[in-house]
Amino acid sequence: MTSKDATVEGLGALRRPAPDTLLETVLMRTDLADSYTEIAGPTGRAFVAWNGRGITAFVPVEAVGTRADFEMRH
Amino acid sequence: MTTTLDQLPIRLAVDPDGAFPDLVRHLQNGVYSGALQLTGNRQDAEDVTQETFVRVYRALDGYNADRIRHLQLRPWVWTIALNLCRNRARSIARHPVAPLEGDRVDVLEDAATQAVDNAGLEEWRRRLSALPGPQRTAVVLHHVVGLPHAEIAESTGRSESTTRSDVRRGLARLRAVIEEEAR
Repeated sequence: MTSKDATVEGLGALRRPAPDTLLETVLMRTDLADSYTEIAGPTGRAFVAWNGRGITAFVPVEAVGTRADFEMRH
Repeated sequence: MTTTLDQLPIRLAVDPDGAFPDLVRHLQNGVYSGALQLTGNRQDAEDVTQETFVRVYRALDGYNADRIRHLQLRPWVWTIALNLCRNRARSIARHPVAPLEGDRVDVLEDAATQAVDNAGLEEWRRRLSALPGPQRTAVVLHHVVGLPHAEIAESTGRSESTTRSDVRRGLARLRAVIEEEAR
């Protein structure tokens, strides 16, 4: 006979992680996902982050290091 | 995530764009898990979960800061998700799809592991489909997603006592289905 606890345990084991891409897809659909590039600015080279709502970050390259560091922080 | 779910409404009221990704991170697994059981299909569950959070974001865009600050986030998000699950169920009723067999295959995941997981999920989908809608929803939200009865009541528009009854009766029915399988 199956106990109530086994049924409750079975239900609890149905929990699954959302797909890895879900957050990124939602952010793209809501124009919140950032794109990144490096440009030659008036005061030197800079990393720029932007999304559908505008520029979200503008940082001189020497202030942040690598592009990977910049993308991680922004 | 450094902000707890309880603290998020305050952050969302001040910086909705900045706080919204944390809202998704906090709730996406629960919404996906519940949608998976309520739609019976991984692709539909993913679509419902995505659409839920897109609608959440659009709704936040139209709320003033005071309203956002007082939001009970989890039941509010689940109200949106349940509506989408119901719409999807109506659509499936009109155009049936073989559950889980029609799912896209994640080519990076071991096929045998996924097949075993699909079989287990399909078994529970069949069992849960034996429950009336309100009982199935209440059981999934309480025992799969982990919502307390008060939040389920708020999400479904049913009273807390009715929700408790739905969970109790739903579990009893599930137990009977499982015992019948064992014979």
